[in-house]
Amino acid sequence: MSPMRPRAPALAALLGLLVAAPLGAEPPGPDCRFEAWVDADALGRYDGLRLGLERARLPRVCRAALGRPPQDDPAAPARLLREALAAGRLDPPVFLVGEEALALARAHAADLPAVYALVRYRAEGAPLAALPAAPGWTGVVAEVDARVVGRLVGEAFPGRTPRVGFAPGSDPEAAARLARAAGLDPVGPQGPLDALLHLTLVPGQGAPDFAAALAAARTRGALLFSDERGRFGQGAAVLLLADEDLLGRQAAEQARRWRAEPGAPPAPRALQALEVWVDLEALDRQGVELPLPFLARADRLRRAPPPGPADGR
Amino acid sequence: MWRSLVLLTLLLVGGVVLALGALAGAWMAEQDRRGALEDARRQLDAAEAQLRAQAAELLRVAREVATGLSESHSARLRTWIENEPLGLYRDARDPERVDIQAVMDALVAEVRQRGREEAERIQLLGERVEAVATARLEAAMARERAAADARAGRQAEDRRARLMQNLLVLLCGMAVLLALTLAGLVVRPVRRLRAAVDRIAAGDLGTPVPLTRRGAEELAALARAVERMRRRLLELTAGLEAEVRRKTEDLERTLGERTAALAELGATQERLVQAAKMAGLGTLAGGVAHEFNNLLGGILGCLESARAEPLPAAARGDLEVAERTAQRAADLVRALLDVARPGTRALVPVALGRVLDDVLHAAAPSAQRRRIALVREPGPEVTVLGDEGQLHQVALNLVANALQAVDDGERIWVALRAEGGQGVLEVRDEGPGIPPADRARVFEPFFTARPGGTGLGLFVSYGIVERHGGRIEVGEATEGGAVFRVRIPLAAPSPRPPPG
Repeated sequence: MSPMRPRAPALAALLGLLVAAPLGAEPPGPDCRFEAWVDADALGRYDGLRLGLERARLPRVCRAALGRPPQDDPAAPARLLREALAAGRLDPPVFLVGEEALALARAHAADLPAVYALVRYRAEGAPLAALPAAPGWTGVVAEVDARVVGRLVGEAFPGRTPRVGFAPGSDPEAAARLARAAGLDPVGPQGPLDALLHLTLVPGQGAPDFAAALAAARTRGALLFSDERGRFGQGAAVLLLADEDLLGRQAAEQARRWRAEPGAPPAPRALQALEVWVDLEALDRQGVELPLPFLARADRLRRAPPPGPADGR
Repeated sequence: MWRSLVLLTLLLVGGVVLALGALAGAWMAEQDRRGALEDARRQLDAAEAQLRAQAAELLRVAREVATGLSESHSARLRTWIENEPLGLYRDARDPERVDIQAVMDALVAEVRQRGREEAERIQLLGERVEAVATARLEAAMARERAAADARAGRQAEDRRARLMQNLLVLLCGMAVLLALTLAGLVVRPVRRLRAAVDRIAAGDLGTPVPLTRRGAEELAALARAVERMRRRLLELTAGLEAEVRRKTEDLERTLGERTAALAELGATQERLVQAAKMAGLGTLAGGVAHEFNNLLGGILGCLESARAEPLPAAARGDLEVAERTAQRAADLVRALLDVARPGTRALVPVALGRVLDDVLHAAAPSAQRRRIALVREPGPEVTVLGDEGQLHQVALNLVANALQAVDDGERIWVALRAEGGQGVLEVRDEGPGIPPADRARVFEPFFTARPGGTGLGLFVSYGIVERHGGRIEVGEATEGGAVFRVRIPLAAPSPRPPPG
């Protein structure tokens, strides 16, 4: 969900994080004809993609190349993909779900047809970021106006100064841009606690340390915001998410069109959508009350699981 | 007895104070109860208003929640409809056509899914609203309870303060009573005792020390001791005063005696001076008179011889005049000689009353002619030792001088009395009197303030009185005129020899 960065070590580190918990490959079957490279924080898009392919009666995704690429052979996933395409075990295009997957394809499979599904933030007045324009590539981008983030933060803290930490899912620079666009001053996790707290995590290995961000936010009495769907239920109080299911379905539609007319891939589409997920348990744990109208507009609410017998209640 | 009365009075006053305190406490308790009721009413009103406000706020929030839910639901469906890629719903038999039924099925599935999520969210929000409402109500009730507790605390504090105030007033009242009692039992007796001591210190020993029977026995004993001290001081003071008085009287008496002695000494000195002066004058006058007597003797002898010769009538007349004149001169000379020469006749007791009667009898015709009253004042018979003829002459001189001093119709008083071993003959008149400057000279020879006077009458009288061992004085009469007093020693059982 962030633009490609040219630094190879950082990309390798990110990919290493992506493959830290490999998604199990789809079991092989007669309809399994596609491969998707998926970022760890883009599973929603992956789900939408699979649903869209199902609805379009297209072959299913056979495998998701989310395994950690070998340190000494980062081109291995692309080579394996080429071999599968050449052997006819898979059909093009390859689905690129997330910025890291896009970066991997650019580095090692730019010549292969691809359909991407990206989420990007745009500051006020900024032009749309350059979309991937490799030959045979198409896709969809959920372009989020960063002002929406600021508006939502304002709705969450009406009449008072927000105390918010923002934990980006994968790209600290993208989170920093988002924070600036939303009117938040970015500070590091070790920086002074301002009335307006923005935690832009820059871990040493290039990957965000969600646990550190959560601990810092709790220490400072701030709520932790995140744009990573998988952090729901892990301590992030509020998630600001693109409608990734829809994004995945639109990516499937782009694939369908490309397959119908392979010679002329359709232009990529952009959409604006932002969902709000609120973890009531995290709010209660920190003793913070958000306005009920804000909660009413949330797309998803999560509460603490009911106490078990061990609680003795 | 009085102690019992005091105790009973104190008990009564204390009871009255306590009763008043109880009444005041009851009144304040009633006021507190009314205040508490009023506070409770206000609190209920405030709580009701707060609950109403909270309810209104919750209702507004609920409406916003409902609106939010509705808008959220609508927005999701709208987003789905607007953005759902319909190309995914192609008809399997005709890929150029969209399978509307599939779209509808997908939409229904979406709606159902969203509905399930919506239901879950509504439930969660309901629980949240309930939790929020409960929390707010509990917070409001907690605030009210805290406020009520605070008010109750303040009221309790106020009641405690009032109780302390009442106790303080009661204690003050009892302190005042105690002070009054102490003032009655101690302070006042001490004050009276101090006043008595001050009086004693100021010299007032006549006022007894008040022996109060109230108060402590020690004060009564002290008062009795002070009273004993006062009496003792009074006795000592009386003795001292008597001694001082006696000493003073002795001193005064001694002083009087000395003063009298000095006066007597002065008078004696004055008399001695006067006597010396008169003696000198007498000697001088006697010498002159002796020589003139000799000359006059010759003149009278010659005149007597000449009268025996036949003379013309005119010459005989002149001769007789010369003889009478020479005879008067011889009388004067003889008078001077009487003063200068000591008497040779023996002094015998003389009844001055009879002498005085003879003089008054002799002067009566002259006095009657001039309507002058010669008053003989009553008095005892006074017998002196002297020469009756000379005393007669003295008395006659004094009466004659008085007759010459007064005007017609005025009065002359003559009195006799015995005084200090002397017989006193006093003659005073209503005349003009003798000026004080002339009083020392009236007895000098030839001193006279009367035209035609010889100035020898008083001089002769002075000599006679001196020869009798007496004294003649002149002064101012109470009636305004002159007064002459002649003092002659009273006649003793054995006649004294004549002086000189």
